Amino acid sequence: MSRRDDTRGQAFTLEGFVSSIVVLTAVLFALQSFVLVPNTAGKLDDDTRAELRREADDMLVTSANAGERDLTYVVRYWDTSEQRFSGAVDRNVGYGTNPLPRQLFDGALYESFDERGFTYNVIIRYRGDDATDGSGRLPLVYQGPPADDAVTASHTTTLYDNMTLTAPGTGTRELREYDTDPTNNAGGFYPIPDADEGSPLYNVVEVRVIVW
Amino acid sequence: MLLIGSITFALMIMGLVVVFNGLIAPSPDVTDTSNDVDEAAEYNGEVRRNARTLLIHTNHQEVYASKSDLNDTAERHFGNYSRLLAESYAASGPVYVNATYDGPVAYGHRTVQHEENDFTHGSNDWSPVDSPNEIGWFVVNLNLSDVSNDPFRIVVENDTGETMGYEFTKNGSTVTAVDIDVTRSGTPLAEATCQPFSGRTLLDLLDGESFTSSCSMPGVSAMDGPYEVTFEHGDRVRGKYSIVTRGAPNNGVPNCASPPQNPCRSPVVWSVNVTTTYESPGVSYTNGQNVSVYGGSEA
Repeated sequence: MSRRDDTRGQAFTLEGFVSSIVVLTAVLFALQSFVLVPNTAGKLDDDTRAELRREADDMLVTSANAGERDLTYVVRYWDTSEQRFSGAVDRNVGYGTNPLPRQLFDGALYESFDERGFTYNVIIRYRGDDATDGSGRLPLVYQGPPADDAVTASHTTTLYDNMTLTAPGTGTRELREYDTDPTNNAGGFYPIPDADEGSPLYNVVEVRVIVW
Repeated sequence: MLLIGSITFALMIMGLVVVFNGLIAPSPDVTDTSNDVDEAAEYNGEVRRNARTLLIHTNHQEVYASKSDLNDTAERHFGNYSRLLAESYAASGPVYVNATYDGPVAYGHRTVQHEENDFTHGSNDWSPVDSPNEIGWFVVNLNLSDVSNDPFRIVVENDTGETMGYEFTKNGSTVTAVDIDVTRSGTPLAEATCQPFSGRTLLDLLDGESFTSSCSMPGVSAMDGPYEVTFEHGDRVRGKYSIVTRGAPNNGVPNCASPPQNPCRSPVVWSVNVTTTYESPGVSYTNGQNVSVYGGSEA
């Protein structure tokens, strides 16, 4: 082998080495700058999220205008002897992963979300019993902490002093006659307070649905 | 040659990345304006519904000596409602809402027996609504222990001469319920037996429903108005009643001064102007509206 062939061989090796570095650098750059969209990790895409939000909104609006079994009916479905929503698991998770009674939302939560494998929370937020008392929170359904891509829909509804609880067997006692102290068994415990004593208004509550 | 090829290949990879990212990257978040518009409209409807309910409660929770007393109370209640509503919306997102009570457009008149008594006024037969009038509320609250075996009648007549008659008698020898026979222009129309709650029966005669049991009957509203109302044999029952009319009836019932006589006439808000404001990142919306409290004519 001549000295000239040796030199050419070294030049090819060096060129190949530099070329491989260039290609590797380009591949690394490409991997770094590749955009990961949510559904590439099994999450909800934008269209699904928009559809879920629309369905949750529609369900709340429909329920708010459902006559006797409207949103206030849902909020008042409280069992004073059990100190939780009627038939619910407890006060912390509400109905949790158990099915809601059919009369709440007319089964729409189950048909819209459970049947299609979505998870959801339904949280009731109410005003405190005076202007400085802020707000309180009462889970109707709590199935876990929402995912990053969860969608939220909410609707506000109004309770009046002379409304009654709607759970079976709760009688004709008006909301203003209940107590927000759970240890007061005689007074009957209902966690949502009278936010405006002295007026017919009882409270303004927000029903929030979070789906993911 | 090898180097030129590799550089070309590297440029192609980077170019593809740029193109691919451009295709699949989500577009920047834009405010969903249509959703905001829907929510603003729903908020407006919610205020409208609650203005009606809140003002019915305000009109009927006590008797008022004057329109200004009523108006002050209504304004205070509405202000509290607006505050709670604003707090609730603010807690749920970057939304500012406000509902303003702009005052009544029209007042009505409530002829009310607010304390237990028989249904007479000067005589056993008399007309709480003595000339054709629009009726927005007609509720009787009977103490069943004082319902007679002989009938007490309420006759409602419209301006064409058509009548609806309601005849109340004790059900059986012991008072466990009240029987109501309904006639239309003298022809029997329906019969109902209403069970009491705590010894009382509360009836909405306009819609023909009981607040205290499941009994129902044809209501006055089955017949076109305006109406006159006459009580016959008012001495045969005891209880309370409340009739809201658009115009002032000339029934001899005094205004509810302090202390109020029984029965007396109290003003009510018949229709009201309300302004709703809804401001979110996507929508800024203000709407003035006239709300009819009893669902009849507004101004």
